[in-house]
Amino acid sequence: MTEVAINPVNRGWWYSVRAYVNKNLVNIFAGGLFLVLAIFLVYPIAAVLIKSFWGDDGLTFDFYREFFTYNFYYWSLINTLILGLSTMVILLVVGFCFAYLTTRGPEWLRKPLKIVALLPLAAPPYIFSISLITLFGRNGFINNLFNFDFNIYSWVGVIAAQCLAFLPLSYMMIENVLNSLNPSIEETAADMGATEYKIIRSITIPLAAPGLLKAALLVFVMTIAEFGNPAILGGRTPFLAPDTYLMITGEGDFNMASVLSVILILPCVVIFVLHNYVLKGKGYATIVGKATPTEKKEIIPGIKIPFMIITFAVGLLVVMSFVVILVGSFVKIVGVDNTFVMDHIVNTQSNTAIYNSIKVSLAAGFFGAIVGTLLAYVIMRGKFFGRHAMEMMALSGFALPGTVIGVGYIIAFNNPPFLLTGTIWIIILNCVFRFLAVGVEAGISKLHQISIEIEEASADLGADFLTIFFRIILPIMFSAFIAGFIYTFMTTMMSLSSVIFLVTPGFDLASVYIYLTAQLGELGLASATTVKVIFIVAIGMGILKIIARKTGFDVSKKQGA
Amino acid sequence: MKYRLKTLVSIIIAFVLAVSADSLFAADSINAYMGFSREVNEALAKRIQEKTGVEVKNITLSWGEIWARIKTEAPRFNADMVLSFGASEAINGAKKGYYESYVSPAWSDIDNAFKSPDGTYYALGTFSFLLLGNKKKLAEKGYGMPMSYKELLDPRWKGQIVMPSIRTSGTAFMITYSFLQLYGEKKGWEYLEALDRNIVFYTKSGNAPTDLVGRGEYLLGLGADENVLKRINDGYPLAWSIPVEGIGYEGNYCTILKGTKKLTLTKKVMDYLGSQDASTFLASMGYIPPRPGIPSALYGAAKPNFIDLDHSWAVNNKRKVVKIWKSKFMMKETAKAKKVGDQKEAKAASQ
Repeated sequence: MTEVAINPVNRGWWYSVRAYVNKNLVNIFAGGLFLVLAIFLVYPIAAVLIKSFWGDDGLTFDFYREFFTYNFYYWSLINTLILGLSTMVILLVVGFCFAYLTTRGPEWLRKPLKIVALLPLAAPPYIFSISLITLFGRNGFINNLFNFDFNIYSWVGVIAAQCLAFLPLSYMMIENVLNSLNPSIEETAADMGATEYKIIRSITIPLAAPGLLKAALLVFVMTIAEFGNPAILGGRTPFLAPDTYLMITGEGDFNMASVLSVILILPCVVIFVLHNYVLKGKGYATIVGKATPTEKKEIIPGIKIPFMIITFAVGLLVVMSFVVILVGSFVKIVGVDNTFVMDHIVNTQSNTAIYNSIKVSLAAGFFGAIVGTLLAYVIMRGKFFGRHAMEMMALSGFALPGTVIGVGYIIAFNNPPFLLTGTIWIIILNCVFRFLAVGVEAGISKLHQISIEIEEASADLGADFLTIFFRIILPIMFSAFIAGFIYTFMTTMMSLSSVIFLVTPGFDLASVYIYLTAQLGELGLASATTVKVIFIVAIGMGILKIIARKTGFDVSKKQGA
Repeated sequence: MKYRLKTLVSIIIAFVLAVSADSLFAADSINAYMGFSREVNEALAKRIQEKTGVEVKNITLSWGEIWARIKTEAPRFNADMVLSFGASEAINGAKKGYYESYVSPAWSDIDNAFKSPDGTYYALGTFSFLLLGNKKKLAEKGYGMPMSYKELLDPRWKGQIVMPSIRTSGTAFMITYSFLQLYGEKKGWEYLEALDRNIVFYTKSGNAPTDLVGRGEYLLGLGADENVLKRINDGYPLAWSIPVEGIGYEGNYCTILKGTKKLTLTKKVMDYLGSQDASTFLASMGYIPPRPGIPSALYGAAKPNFIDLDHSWAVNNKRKVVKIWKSKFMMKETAKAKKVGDQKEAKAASQ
């Protein structure tokens, strides 16, 4: 800045700019972020919406009419809802069993069950299609062992894969609820002679009901939006998410793909609103005297045994899934020729895909963390109109199905002025804005802990905004920044549903490669690539756990790939 | 403070550059949509790089997917070449002016059946579909490999046959029009409807049946012949047969996409594809290559028993066939739905 200092006229100009910037920096940031969110999140979704109403001849409802006249389309909606509901019901039961045993069960069982229930977090949801094929396919281990003739490419397969994939989500939410219930009420009931059945039925479940409902809704949204499992295992049954993809990739029909997307968004929006407004703050606070630690009660066998059967069966399936993926990546042809080979692990194309994925994920993590931290800061410290709208926008990426954002990106960014298709940036930006929510939430929760007075004090002492930003805010928010970075990195590594629309020649991503090979039936390569992804994600999770321990913000409470 | 700001900005710039580096400094490379099987794509790309020094960055797509991409991207294609899609894509795309016309000298002595007169597309030999079976599982059940298509209608194959879906797969289209021409249109559809009762599901890719049957998931499959040889060599208990009625075939067409910034490189690749070496390579993978006299590793020197096909009929009737297929096997067509569909079809045809 020496040059500027020499010239007094320039200095005056510079100082006024600085003064202005200093005073309005939050607003300037806010403006910029609004613009960015509008371009990369609102515009693509709006483009999908418009495309579903806008044919070659202008405004038309023809595409929606087509949706409701052809049974294929409306059946894919009905199937999707059935899939969501059945997964939801099963996971409520299974999640409750897991959570009940880990919060009230025998001490020795709690830790291992918890680990098993959370294990699927380390893997992309679609690995369960691969492992289920390896286990339950016609030539799978289980079918061969017991001589079953079971077809895994069916409803049962899809539902099973979805249940395993979203077990951690359901478990974490239900466990949270059960932990927050004050044990004294249950104990009192027990002391007064109520049986454990009665306690569960008339105390535990009613008190946990709002939390259970929230868990159910989230599981439902995640399940219907998930692309990989129904695409790989669906067989002849149409589902909305994979059909949206096929509409575009197979038939190039953007209008119908947009209609399918809009139909898929509707339940998500309804549930998002329910979740954030209707159910917000709902839940029963149990007001009793100070909770006193009492001796642990043994669960009666009538409850313990069925709960243990359910959790052990599901847990075994989870563990076996990981084992067969690991085994599958080292044997020649799973189930056919079980000789040990390294071919799949050293396959160059798969390693290139991994390398590309890491590159994209690092970039997405980096930019995602920057944007997320800034957004959190602006939302918390800004005093402008529309802060809530901004927060909503930032969090919406999390709630919207990946396929919809994927479709939106190819429609929106295929033409100037935002010609991005075919570049790696479209993939990076897509992931940045889809996974923004966690970075923002981490930042907000961090800023809640810190009084604004520190910033005001330094401003009073003459520090300008940038100084405050670098010397105070950034250090404070650094852990949120890292959490946002790693979370975005991990989810980008595993994300499939939106990037599958955006990959270009010579730039395979690991997740797309896994999908492609799994779908062709080349399980060895699919397994090997998955193992590498799991390994990388596990490292990320380890770092996150350390951060969570140090700062108290648990990012692993969020899921969505 | 300024120093920190500058550091931050320079970190960001460095990051952006590092991420874009590959695309900025990639020297002799072209992007291609490739429609062979995944393994053939990788092998062919490697071979081209060895022989010409041009790196072929590729993405494996089914033919229908390549066509959908080209249609939506036109006129700004995200690739420089298409290495293999079907005749209807090649011919219809040429009509729409999607392809660069380049009369390659390397192809001059190759039969005219394998190239267009104006050099917009070339056929990299032909591939077929085969009847595939799992030897081990068939033996377990005591079934023999069916010898004719009629045998596939036997109820004992119910839920045991896979074939690709016409929505995405070029192989599936070839299978469908082969039956339509073998039995005549009316009888052909009747046959496919009867066959549908035994089909467990339709896969996205024409090569998926090879792996599904090879791994023992299903007993029989109708699928592309591309990966069959490789899978048998890999040790899959895979059997293939040419039913007595014969098999269909189709060219693997390649084109240079108009507007490519790498015209010289793409021409170099196209020249190589016309060479003896390329034909030898394709034959070794089991294709019937454009240059005569090189025996296919799968079929040997003798031409397999082909169904007598009118490919121009297939090219002109692709939309119709796909639509009928969808109405029969994907969605039930009510009277109202038919009206909506017909209107849409009429509009698309008039464009």
